[in-house]
Amino acid sequence: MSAKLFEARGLVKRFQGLLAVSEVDFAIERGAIVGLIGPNGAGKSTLVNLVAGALRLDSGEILFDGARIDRLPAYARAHLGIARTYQIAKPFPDLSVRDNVAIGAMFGAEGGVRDRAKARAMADEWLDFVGLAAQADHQAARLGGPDRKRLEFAKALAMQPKLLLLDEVMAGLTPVEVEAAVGLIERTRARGVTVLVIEHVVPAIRRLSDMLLVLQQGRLIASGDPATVLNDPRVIEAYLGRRRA
Amino acid sequence: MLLVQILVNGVLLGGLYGLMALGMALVWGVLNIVNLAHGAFIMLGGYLVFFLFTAGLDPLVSLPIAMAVLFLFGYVIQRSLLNLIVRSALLNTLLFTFGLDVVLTYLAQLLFSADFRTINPSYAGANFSVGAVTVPVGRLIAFAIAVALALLLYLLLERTRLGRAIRATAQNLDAARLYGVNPAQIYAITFGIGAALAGAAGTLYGIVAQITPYIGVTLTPKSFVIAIIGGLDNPLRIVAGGIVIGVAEAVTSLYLGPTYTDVVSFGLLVLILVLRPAQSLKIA
Amino acid sequence: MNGRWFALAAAVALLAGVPWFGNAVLIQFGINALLIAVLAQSWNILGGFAGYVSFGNSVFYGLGSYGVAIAMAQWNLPFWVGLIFAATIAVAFAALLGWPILRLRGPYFAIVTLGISAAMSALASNLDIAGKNVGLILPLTRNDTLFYEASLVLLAAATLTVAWIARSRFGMALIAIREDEDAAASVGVNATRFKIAALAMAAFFTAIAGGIHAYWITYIDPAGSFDTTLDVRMVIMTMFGGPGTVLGPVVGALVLSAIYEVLADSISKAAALFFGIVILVAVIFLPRGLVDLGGGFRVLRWRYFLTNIRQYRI
Ligand SMILES: Nc1ncnc2c1ncn2[C@@H]1O[C@H](COP(=O)(O)OP(=O)(O)OP(=O)(O)O)[C@@H](O)[C@H]1O
Ligand SMILES: [Mg+2]
Repeated sequence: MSAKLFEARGLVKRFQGLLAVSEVDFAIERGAIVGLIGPNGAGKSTLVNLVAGALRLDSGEILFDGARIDRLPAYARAHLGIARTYQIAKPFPDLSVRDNVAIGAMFGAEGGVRDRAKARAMADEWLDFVGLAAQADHQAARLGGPDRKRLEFAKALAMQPKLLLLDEVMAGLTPVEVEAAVGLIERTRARGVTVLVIEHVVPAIRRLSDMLLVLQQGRLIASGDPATVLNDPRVIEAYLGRRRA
Repeated sequence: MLLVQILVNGVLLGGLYGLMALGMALVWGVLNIVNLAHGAFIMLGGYLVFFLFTAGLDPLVSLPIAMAVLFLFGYVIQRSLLNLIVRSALLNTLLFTFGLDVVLTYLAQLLFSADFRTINPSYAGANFSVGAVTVPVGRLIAFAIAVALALLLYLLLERTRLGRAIRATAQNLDAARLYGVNPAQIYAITFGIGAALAGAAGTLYGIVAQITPYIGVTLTPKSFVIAIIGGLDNPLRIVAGGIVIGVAEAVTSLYLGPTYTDVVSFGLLVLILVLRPAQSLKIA
Repeated sequence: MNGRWFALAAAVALLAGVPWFGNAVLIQFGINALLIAVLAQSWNILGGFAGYVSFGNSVFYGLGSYGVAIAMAQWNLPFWVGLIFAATIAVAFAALLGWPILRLRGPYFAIVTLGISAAMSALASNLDIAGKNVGLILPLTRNDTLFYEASLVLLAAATLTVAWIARSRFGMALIAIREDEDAAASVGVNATRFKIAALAMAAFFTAIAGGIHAYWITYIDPAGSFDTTLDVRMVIMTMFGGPGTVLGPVVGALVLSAIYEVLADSISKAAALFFGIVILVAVIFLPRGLVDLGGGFRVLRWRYFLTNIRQYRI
């Protein structure tokens, strides 16, 4: 078993004229937490969509556990062990919070557990893990913003993934909540899950990540050790450029 | 030569098809409602003009009357009923307009009977020849009016305050509100315009074909397909989409015979929808 | 809970007893009502649970009718073989048709289904084996009690199937698809497979209903078999009773059939209007159907209707 869980080679995605992701290469080691940062519109969410199978590549290759997955539909990638959250949460609105998470457990990696009662019990554990146990019986549509992010997180975890893609789960959280989220992600890794975290909150992601990727206008402009990357003049430029705008 | 004749017929009829689809596309693009009663609106326009014709009014004179009446009808339906559910799942508005279609169809059957009706002013059956090709005057008039109305709609949307308000509402409801647009009102007006266009289409349909209470059953899916081919944002492209379908139908009935038009147009519908994925559709 | 089971068992027993205490008219009404309830319940599988509105399920009814008629009238096979033949054709057709059209979502799917019955009707009137425009005549069996009980058994089977769906992983997949198909795919739901399975199940029950009906009335033709007013009725009855519930479609179908029967007696011509009006009212005031009204009304009283409206108006 190689140390690399995931590898992207020359990923390209165009929307009409716009090059949203351009020649992106990177690899993720088993058990790592990798941070992905970049200004608005850099192509971060598009990258997640490509990896999870919500969008098709224009060219490039994606390897997971050593096998090509770029032709597989989204559900098949979920079965292999890739879970993702949506930047704008996508709950199953009419269902209870518990059932939302139970669906994650009933499908997910290797097709999930078949038994509904067991899936519900597992859902309760994950809700406890993310701090949503009190809302288990609420209708998902009624949850507020931060709780929706927790629900997204719990749903993805319930899939028992090998690789978890988190698209801005900390956006809009208070500093205290960000701390809690950092703790959650660390505990998730401790359970053996490899994590790709997209975030704007730089201090948090710097502390979390073993490796940092920086995307700008679809290109990977820096990657490597967080401290080094964050001192890279091009990265500083990219971020200052955004602030000036 | 036969083929050229068929093409001319198809293109002329296709213009009218385009007009049928205009109202549906407008409502779909702006309100995100697929109006399954659109064909029934066309049918109502046809009957209205038919009765005015039996009272001695030329259909071209009745056309604006039909448009005005259907505008009011559409406005009231949207304002009083559809606005109540416009924000619910697409499924609900779909079912609602489906119910509306059922009500209008059976009402028409009850009030107007199931007999075939045609509006036949002297020019409806007239022809003239260009070389070896015969041009039916009724269809030519229908084509010309359809194109003119599409142009008018285009100008209305692009060049007027109302058009700007409609487009703003289509793009972003909340932002439109901030600029002082009343969405309930704009929705009702837009739905009214859609119905008025259906009224015009019904008038012309009555001149080139026969009206029964049930014509909506085929005209609604046809309008839908054309709206998809043409896209929802440009009236002139929608007329072009109508011409594509008109020609395809004419060619089908020439080579396979008219009994198969339903089978073929259904096959075509599936083919177009499957080959043209929803994602590529820009919804105004 | 025990009370509910008891009430349900009593209702089934009462329904089963109709041929012994009802008159011929009631039995005939019962057969029609039970069969349309089967159609509504079948429609519920894909429409109610997965949120895919089909206006074309009558095509399976037509295939069922023709399957039984062809087997019995053209090949002299017994009724039950005809039923198997009919169900097989309908399920195969559902799978074949579902593969392209179930990739379409929302209005795209709904509109495509509008055309199916018209196309099949045109096809049947061109086929020799289907008797072209004239149709087919089946052997006569006069036993309304038998047809009634067969219809009841079929409805029970369809309802038990839906009860299983409502508690199963399969049902969860359909519900997830209804709620958000993209999100469902991301958690690992193979949407296409589940949707096709749902359509095939609907086709199975609908075709058997069509087969029973064909044998019962002993005569079929294209217009009567591929009858789009059936689509109107099954959709409206399900929506009225409660889409995505186990008993809603049955309650909706039986209640609306009874009301329609009364109306058709008194104001025969306007009766068909009734279904259109029902759905207009139901979509606005009862978006979750009749079976939700009981609980909701007890809590909110008349405000129940207001809350339903407030939710979605602009
Ligand atoms: N489905 C789509 N169709 C067309 N353009 C798209 C689509 N999705 C994204 N884009 C465009 O691609 C670019 C990258 O978008 P993306 O959402 O990946 O950025 P991001 O890095 O996630 O930004 P943010 O920080 O705002 O979430 C943007 O210019 C966006 O407008
Ligand atoms: Mg993003």
